[in-house]
Amino acid sequence: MSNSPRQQGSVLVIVAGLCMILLTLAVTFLVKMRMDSQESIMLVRDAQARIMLVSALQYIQESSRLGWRDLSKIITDPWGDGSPGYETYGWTDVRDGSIGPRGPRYYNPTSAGDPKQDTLTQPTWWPGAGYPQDADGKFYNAYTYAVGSLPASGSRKWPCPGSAMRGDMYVEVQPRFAVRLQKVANPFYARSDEANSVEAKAFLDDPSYTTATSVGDLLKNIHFLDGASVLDGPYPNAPVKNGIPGQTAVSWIPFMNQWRSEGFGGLDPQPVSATLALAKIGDDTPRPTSANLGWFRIYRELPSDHDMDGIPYFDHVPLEGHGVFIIACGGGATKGYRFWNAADPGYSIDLEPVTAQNSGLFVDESMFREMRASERILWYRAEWTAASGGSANTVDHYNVEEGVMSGQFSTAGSYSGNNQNSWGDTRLDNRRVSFFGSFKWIQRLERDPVKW
Amino acid sequence: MSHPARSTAASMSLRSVRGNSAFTLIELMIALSLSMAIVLIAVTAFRQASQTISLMQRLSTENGMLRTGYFLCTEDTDFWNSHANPDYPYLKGHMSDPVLTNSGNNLDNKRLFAPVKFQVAPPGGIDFNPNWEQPNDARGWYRNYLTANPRTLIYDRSIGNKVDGYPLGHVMLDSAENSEVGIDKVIASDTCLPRGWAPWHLIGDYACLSTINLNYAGVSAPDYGQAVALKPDDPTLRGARPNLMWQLFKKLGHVGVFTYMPAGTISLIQCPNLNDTVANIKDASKNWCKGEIPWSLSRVMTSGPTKTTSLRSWLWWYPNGPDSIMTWTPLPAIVTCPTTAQVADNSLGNYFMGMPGENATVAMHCAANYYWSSASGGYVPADEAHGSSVPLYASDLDHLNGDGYYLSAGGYETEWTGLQARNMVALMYGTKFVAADMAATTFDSEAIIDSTTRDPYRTLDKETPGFSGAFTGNPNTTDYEQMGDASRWDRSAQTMTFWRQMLNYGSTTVHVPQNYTDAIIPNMTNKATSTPSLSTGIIRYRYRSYDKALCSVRVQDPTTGRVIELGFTLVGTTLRGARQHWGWKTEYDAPTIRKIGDLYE
Repeated sequence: MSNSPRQQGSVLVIVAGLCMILLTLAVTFLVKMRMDSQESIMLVRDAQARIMLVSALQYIQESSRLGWRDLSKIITDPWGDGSPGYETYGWTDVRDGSIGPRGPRYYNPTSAGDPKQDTLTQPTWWPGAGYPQDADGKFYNAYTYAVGSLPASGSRKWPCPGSAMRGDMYVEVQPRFAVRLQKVANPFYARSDEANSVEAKAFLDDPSYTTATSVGDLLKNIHFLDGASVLDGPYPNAPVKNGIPGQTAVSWIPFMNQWRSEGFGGLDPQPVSATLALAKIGDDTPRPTSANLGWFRIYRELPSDHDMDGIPYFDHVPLEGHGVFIIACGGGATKGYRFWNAADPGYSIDLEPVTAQNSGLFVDESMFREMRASERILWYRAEWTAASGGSANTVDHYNVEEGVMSGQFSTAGSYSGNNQNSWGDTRLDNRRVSFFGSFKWIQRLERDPVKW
Repeated sequence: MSHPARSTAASMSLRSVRGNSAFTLIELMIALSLSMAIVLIAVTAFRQASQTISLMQRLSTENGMLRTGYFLCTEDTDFWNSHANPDYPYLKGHMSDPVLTNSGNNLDNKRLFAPVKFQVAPPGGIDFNPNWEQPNDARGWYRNYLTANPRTLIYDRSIGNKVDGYPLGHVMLDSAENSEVGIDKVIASDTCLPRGWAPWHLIGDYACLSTINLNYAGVSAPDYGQAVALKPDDPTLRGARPNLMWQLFKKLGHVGVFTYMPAGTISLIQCPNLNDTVANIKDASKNWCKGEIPWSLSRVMTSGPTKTTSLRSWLWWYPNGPDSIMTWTPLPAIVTCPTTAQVADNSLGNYFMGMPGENATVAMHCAANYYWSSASGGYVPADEAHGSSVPLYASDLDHLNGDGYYLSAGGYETEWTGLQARNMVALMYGTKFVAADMAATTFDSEAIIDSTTRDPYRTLDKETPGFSGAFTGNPNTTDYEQMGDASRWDRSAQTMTFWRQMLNYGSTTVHVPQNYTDAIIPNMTNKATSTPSLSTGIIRYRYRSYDKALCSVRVQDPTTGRVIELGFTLVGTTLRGARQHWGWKTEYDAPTIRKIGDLYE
């Protein structure tokens, strides 16, 4: 039995109508979800950008003290020409207030008459001449920020004031000197009074040990959790156990020696690489899931950026020193490139020596600009200072135990603030300075600061 | 083969039958049933889809509100809207206004965003503002003892090996008080340093002298003056920073001034305890909060109490001393800091150490020759020195910058480290008020804001007792428990206290529907019953060098009663950065009569 064409058409209309309704609902649902997803992307990018603020601040802190070295130069001056990667003294040099970071004073023990003796020398990142010299060796100099002596625009290379750097953030496949989560033999320092405690003895392989009478004795009693003292074996090839049955820790004799000569903790933790050479190299290939998510840029302000003339617009606070930065935090995939090429408005080679186009990392201009337009960018301004607090973190970093303090180590780092030692002297460290430093203030900028 | 006639008749008969035929009842019922089933399925599907769409729409709306709330919180974190923004819906103008004179006189003008106008000196002059304070600048140094500093490198770079000398030894800058080692000896003692490292190499010039006192008149410190070439006779340099801090303190209160203080500056708060009522706070004669001082403002006592006088007497006397800069004169609306500061010298060796808290032991500590001590000498618990009714609230930025917990097995230090074991010490930025305050023509800040301004630490660890027992120096025993009730040092207990009390320091802003700030329950009177609400909250505090913000987003659907709350912590603009922002905002970007934050002439 068959229905008439009219009946069949009615059914078709009804079915089609219902289907359309359902389809519409489904499409609406999908579109709405898509919109939500799109809107959520901006939130994710905002969060990513905020993470970049922390990264940028840490970069500023780290690079205030890490040595700046021109890799193209061979170190020929072992006494320090200010360049070869020596530890530096802050963005505003804590010694004389000059433009940092720069290395230690020049010291040539073989030639007391060396004219550079005890001077602060020009860092390698400073192009050309004109860097302020501090030749008198005094502690405190009134240092005037000589604007005229700054490198000219176009020749400023990071970290010179007026220049900017770009930080593309991702996780490397294997960072240099990567370590692994492996329980290893961990030497710890056993002081006499600590060794007397029940807690400490539990970790000693020689519970009968009671008192250290000399530094050498102390070294002998640095023990591993499950192994012999480092000196028990035939030095320097003492076996290093890792505490895991069936496994043997990587032989790490160079680190052993480092520990022996330079401090504690050389054995902890264990490296990922099997050899020191591989550990040094690592693998800086970005992990795909971590790439193209966030970046930061840092611009180091010029004196003219804080001379209270209203240019840039936020310049109404008179600032001194050389540690004021504009931080651009980005959530997006442009890797921190700001300019497609030199024809972009506001371009300066000081801000971006290699543009996005020249980098070769982007397919074409339209793609780059689309990526740029969809990014979340936050601008901050921050002032770095060497003045820092102290307390536990500083203790961890600097503390040298009191037990061996006789003429050797400071105990001031052991205490957060005021204290008194056993003979009644005050030990105060209230104005700690750290070349890692901290930040006096961090300020969000409402608008594009132009130079970043 | 069929017959044509019969075939035709049969055909007609069939048509006749078909033409008169109809659905049988059963057919009809089946058809109707099927149709109904189809319709029912269709309606159900449609209804289901519709409900799904509605649910999706509601979820989408909630998600959108959560996202909006997130961005509101991030903006709040960066621009401190909940503490500074005078406009709707934040309405925090009172955080920059002076308080009425009868609303807690000791707290006059102490608001986080009170306007402070700094002067900029003419060329060659000295800017009296917080920005000259560079680490190399002696004016910015905290003028106290030098102690040995951390070794930065322990190997001699010239030979790439270990040192053949020793790191810097224990150093006391003040050779006048401590004859063991002074800065002069350090400089001369090249033998105690690694070869190739002069003292300034090892620790930095600034670090070496960072805690030196300025070479002020009346205190002989020739070594320091010579060492730092500090223009010792320049009166404009003397006391510049302490005076600046004092001015800021008077304007911003204890909470605000911390954002300008160099790290490590010790401050002291002295507050009444048993008499800590609003009425007494308003009574100058009973108000000891005027003893609040940035500790760097202390000065050498050339007269008055002797060094064995109790702390209470000293403080009580001191603000009225003939040379005191701590006047009680009411402040103008905008403080203009002077270019020539008064001398505010720092007494060598005057240090207070203690932890904030209602019953915290405040041990006063100074150099061996400068005890303010009880009969037993040494550390002076507050109760012992000052009576049980006068607890002191002392803190320093070391504790705000770090947790300060360092368990030492030594005998002498453990008292201290035990006292420092208050990991939850943080500086709270209070901002809360209620709608009723806004409705009043004379806004009374009352206790919530004032208490946070006056004594921000009390909110934390309030119930934690101080050191209450003698320390025997035996690390194998439970000596640490003798520092009061050990159970109350439990972190969880602290955390509970922290969370319970910090509710008083948060600010809630209802965005949808619009409502008064800090009205946690939105006013739905004039809104549709289905209107969802969105509110954001923020609690700010300073802890371990960070200005932190605890944010919360709350979305409520009145039709279902569904409440979604999202909480997160953000790090962004610091208080000082926010003050700079609002100073720029109100003076240049959107000029208003009401100035907020840092202003510069």
